[in-house]
Amino acid sequence: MTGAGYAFYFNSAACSGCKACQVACKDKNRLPLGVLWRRVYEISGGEWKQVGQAWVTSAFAYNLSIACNHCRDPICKKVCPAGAISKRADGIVLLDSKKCLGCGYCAWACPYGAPQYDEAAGHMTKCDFCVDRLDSGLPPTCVAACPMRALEFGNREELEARYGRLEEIYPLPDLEITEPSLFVNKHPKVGGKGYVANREEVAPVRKKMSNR
Amino acid sequence: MKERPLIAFTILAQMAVGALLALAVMIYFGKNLGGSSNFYYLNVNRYLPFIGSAMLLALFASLFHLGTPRNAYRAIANFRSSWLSREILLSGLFTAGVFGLIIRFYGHIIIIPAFLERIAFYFTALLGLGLVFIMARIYMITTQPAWNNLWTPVSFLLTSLLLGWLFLGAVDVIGHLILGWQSNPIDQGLNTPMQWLVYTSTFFLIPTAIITILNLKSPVQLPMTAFPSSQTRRYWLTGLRLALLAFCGIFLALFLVSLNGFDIQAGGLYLLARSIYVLAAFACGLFSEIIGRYLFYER
Repeated sequence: MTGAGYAFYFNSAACSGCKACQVACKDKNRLPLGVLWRRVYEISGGEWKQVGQAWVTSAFAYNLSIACNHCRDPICKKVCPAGAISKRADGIVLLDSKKCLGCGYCAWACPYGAPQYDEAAGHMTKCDFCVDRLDSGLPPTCVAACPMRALEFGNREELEARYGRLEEIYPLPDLEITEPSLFVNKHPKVGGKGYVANREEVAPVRKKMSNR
Repeated sequence: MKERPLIAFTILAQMAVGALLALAVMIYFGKNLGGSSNFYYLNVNRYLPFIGSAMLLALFASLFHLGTPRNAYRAIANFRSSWLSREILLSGLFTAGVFGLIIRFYGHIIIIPAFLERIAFYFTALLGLGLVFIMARIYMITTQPAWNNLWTPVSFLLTSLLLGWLFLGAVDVIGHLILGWQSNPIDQGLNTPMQWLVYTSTFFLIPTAIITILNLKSPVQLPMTAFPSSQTRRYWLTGLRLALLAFCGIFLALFLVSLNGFDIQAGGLYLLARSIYVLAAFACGLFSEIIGRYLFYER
């Protein structure tokens, strides 16, 4: 991979929220309970209003499948005290578990909830873009698993040329924080006032652990 | 990966820094107020082992926060960009500075001029002040809006000052009651170290209470990494914290009132009562700050 490096593309308009990507990732990486490298956020909103004799709805829902965005300016790499996080020439941000202290600072710093603490292992873990599959010429397992073909991957510059720059989409944070290598086709309902409806499911592991 | 060890680490380390700052201020202003700034008159050396022990305890507690403590030696590897690396580095330097002072005062191994002794003391105190600000800087990251504001360094500094001052007072009491410390002849007024400590620590209570009230509102979180927290529990814990701060102030006031007609020769019940006031004030202040730090991490 040359040029700007790898990036993900997600078609929110095509995503059915089936979570096959989430399950495939968990299965392939043998992730323990409470660790989700890829998380499918369900954003809901809207209301029902009575207009005359009729009830009119503005209710909506859409999904966002987010893993590590292998950002151009990864904040996790900056804040890690042990230097356990590095960015490869192909753009993939990797976490070296042998160096990791398990302090969790990267989890605090990441606006996408990508680094996840594995309590049994005692260190942080995160999406590695399935580098082993890439080396074998295969797509990341989440991309391969999606029945709706809502997930793609490729060269960042090519994806940007094809799909345009990433726009601000709730609940994604300000893109300038870390410049994620992510492109999203907006669902038609994006823009209404929504909320993350499955927060308990995708909640950062840090909170789950501190509740024990 | 847990936050309780972080509560212990930050509270103990900030308390140790505050205590050394209090000593440094006492020495400096003691000189300017006509009292003695002589280290040995103020028995500065007596307090240093307690400050050093608090720092060692803080560093030990911090290990329990790590998922893989055996990799702790790597914590300063990324000091060029990681504020956490810088914090560990400065914690080590501050602790080394305190123990260097202990060795100097107790071991008399190194013969240095008095002014260099003073510079070393002030320099270590400045290292500690830097440590408190670096600790705050760790939390001031864009992705944690609840922490990324000026209240974080202000509240950390207030913790340091309040607990540091109270800790010195408590150490003084324990030293006299249990370790058999003898007091130097006391001159009246603000030059009396214990009186000065108690008098000035009351001034840290009000801003601490104000910041506690201001932090009552629901924390701001980024939607992708937010998690629900109980606002009812926040209210109860904040109320408890304010009550403890109030009791701390009451005990400090009782101590100051009890100084009227104080006669060092009286001893006995007078000494015991005033000792209890100082220890109780320290206990109330400490538990109040522990609650405050717990609420901080819950944001």
